[in-house]
Amino acid sequence: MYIRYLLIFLGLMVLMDTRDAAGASFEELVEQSQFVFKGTVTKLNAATLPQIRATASTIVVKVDEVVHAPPATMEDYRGKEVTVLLERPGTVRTGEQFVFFTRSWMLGSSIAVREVGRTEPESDVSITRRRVAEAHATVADNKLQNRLTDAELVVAGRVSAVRPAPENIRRGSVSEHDPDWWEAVIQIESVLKGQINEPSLVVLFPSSRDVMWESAPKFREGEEGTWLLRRERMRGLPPTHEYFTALNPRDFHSKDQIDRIKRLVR
Amino acid sequence: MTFFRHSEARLRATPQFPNAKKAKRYVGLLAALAIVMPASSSVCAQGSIAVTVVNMIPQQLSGESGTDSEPNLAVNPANPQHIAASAFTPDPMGGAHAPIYVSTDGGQSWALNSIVPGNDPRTGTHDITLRFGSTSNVLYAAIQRGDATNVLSVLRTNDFTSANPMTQLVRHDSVDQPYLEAISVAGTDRVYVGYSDLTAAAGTTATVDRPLNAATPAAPVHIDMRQRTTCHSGAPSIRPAIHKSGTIYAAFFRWTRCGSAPGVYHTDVVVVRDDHFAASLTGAFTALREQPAPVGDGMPGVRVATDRLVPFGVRTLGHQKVGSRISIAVDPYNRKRVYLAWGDGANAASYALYVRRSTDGGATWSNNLRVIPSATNPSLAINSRGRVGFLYQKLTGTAPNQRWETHLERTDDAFATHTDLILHHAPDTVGHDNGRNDVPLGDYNQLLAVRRDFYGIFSGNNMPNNANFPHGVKYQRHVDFVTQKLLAVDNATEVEPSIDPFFFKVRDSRRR
Repeated sequence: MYIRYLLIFLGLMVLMDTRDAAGASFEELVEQSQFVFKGTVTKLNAATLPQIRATASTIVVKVDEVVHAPPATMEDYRGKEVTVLLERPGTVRTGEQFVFFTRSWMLGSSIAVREVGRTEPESDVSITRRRVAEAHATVADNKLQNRLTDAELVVAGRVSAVRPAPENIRRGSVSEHDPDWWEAVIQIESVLKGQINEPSLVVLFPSSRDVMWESAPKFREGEEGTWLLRRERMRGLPPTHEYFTALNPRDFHSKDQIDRIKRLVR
Repeated sequence: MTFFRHSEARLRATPQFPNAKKAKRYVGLLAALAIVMPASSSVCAQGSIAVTVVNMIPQQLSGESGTDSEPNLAVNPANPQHIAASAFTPDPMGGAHAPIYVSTDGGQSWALNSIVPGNDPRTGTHDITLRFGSTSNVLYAAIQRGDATNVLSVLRTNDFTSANPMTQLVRHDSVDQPYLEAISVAGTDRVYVGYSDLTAAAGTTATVDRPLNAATPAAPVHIDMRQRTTCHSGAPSIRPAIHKSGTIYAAFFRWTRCGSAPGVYHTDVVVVRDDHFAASLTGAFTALREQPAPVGDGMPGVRVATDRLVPFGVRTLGHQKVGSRISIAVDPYNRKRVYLAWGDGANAASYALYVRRSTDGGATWSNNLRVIPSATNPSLAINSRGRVGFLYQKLTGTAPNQRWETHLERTDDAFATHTDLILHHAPDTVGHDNGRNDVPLGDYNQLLAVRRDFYGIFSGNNMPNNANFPHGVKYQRHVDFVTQKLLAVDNATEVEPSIDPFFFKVRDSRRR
C-alpha cells in the first residue's frame, strides 16, 4: 500500500516538474520563450527601463545564469538586472530564485521580458540547459515535420545551374518589393517525398534581398542539400505556372541534414 | 506675406550688433554659454532654433549592423513627450512580434517595444507607417506583415509602451506600401490608409482605406478614377493628408505609359480631395475635378503635372532606387492651402524633387517653388504658424565618393526664401550590396509638425563622425567618436557601420 502511494507521489512530482503553474509543458514553455535564465528576484513593483511604468506586475530580477539566449545581438546578461513582466502579479517574493521562461518585450538601456512560465531551479544549471536544448531540438523537429507534411515534393540533390527566369516571369509584377525571380536547376539524387520522373527539376526563387524576400532561401550553382517543394500561387506569376518554390527558410537544408529529414518525412 | 518674409529673415539672421561694446557683451554671454553647454550636446542653437538629432538604436542593441531603413514617425499631439517610430528592425530576440521604437521623453531616449504582429526575423515588418490619434493617445499602425507577402494589417494600441500586442482592425491581401494618417474629431479617431491595391480592377490600384472610427471599416475607395488604357497598375505611393474640417487630400502617381525605356514610366501626378471625411458610400474623393475639355478632362482628381518620367525598379541615385516618391501636406489652419512634393526624371542626371503649392484647395497649382536635383524621399509638413517644412535626402559628389545629405528646409513665404538645415551627411557606402538590396535609405522618411515644432526621422550611415552631424548628435548605442568606431554592448568589440534611424526635432521658440 505504501509503495503504491509512493509511486503516485513520485508520478505527481514528475508532472509538477514538467508543467508550470499555468499547465504548460516544458516543451511548450521552451517553444514560447526566447530568453531562459535562472534569476533572483531583487525588487518588486519596479522596472529597469524609463519607458516602463512600474506596477505590481513588473519586477526586477538579477540574472544568475543564462540558460538559453538569442544569438547575435543579445549579449551575456549574467549578473545584470532585467525587468520581468509577471504572468500573475504577487506570486514572487524578493530573494526567491527561479528559472524564468520569457519572451521579448522591451529593449533599451536595459531589457524587459515577458514571463511565459517559471520553474524551481535545478541543483545544477547544466541540467536545465540540457533539457532546454533537447526541447528546442524537439520543437525544431516538429516545425520541420509540419513543413514536410505540407510539401508536395521533397528531393535531395545539387544545383547544376542558376539563371534569370524568363522575362514574363521575372518582371511579372511591378512592385517596390520586386522578387526578381530566378531559376535554379536541381539535379535530383533522391526523392524523399512525392513523385517525379525527371532527373532534374527547376525551382523558382527570389534573388531580391528586398525586405519582403530577404528571408527566402537563395541558391547558387554547386549547392547541395534537400528541398521541400510546393507550387504556390504567387501574385505576378501566371496562375497556371508549374514552378516549384521553396520560399520558407525551413524549405532548404544543407546536405548534412538529410538523415534528420529522412527520419521526419512521412 | 511680407510679414512672413520678415519672420523668415529673422529666422536666418546672423547676429549683427550696432556697436562694439554691445558685441563684446554678447560675445561674453556666448562664451559663458559655451562653457556651460557640454561639447557633445545634441542640442545645437542656430539663432533661436534648437536642433536635436538622436541615433535611435538602443544601447542594448549596440552590436547590430542591420539596414534599419525606411523609417516612420508618430508624435502624440496630446503629449509630445510620447513618440513612436518604425524602421526595418527585427525583434532582437527573434520572437513573433516586430518592434516599434518608443520614447517617453520627447525623443531623447528610445527603446524597442515588440508589439507588432508578424515579425520577419531579418526585417521586422515589411512596410510600416504609424500615427497617434490627435487627442485619443491611441497609436495606429498600417503594416505589411513580416510573416506574409503583401498582407496589410491596420493595428491599434491604447498604450504604446504596453507589452500587449497591437490589436488588428483590418486585414487585406495583395497590398503595397500602406501609409497611415489619423485624426481625432469629436472624440472619435478617424484613420485613413493609402495603399496600392494590387488586385484592383483595370489596374486602378491607388486606394484609400477609411475605417472611419477604426472599428467599423467602410469599403476602400479606388481614387484613380480615370480609365486606364496602358500599364497594369499605378505606382505604390498613395499619400493622404487630413484637415480637421473634414477635408482629405490624397496624392499619387498615375502611370500612363510603360516602358519607353527599361524601368521608366510616363506618369501623371494626381491630387484628389474629399470634404466630408470621405464618409459617403458613393462619390468619395470626387470634390476636386478638372475643368471640362479642352482645359481638362472633367474627371475627379487634378493632374498637377503630366507625362513626367519616373524611374522604377532601378538604381538611380547612387545605390538607391527612387521610383514613386511623393508627399502632400495641408495647412492645419487653412484647409485650402496645400503643398505637394514629388520626384521624377528618367535617370540620375535628370532626377529631381519638385515642390508646388495650391491655395484654392487643389484646383490650381503654382509653378515649381523648389527644384532639388539628385534628391529623394521628400516629406512635407506645415506647423501651427503656417511654416512649411520640407525634408529630403540629396546625393552629392561623384562615384565612388558620393554622399547622402539629409536636409530640412523651412519657409514662411512659399520658398521665396528659406532656411536649410543639413542634419546629416555621410558616404553612400553602407546598407546596400550587389545582391540587390537597392534601397539603403528606404522608400520614405517622415516629417511631422506638432504645434510649432517639426519632428522627423530619416535613415542614414551610422558612422560616429561629428563632422557628419553639423547640428550635433546623441548616440545611445556604444560609439567612440575619437576613433569613429561603433562598439558592441561590451563597449570594446568593433561593429561594422550600417544604416540606422535618426530622430530629429527642430524647435523654434519665436512667435510669429
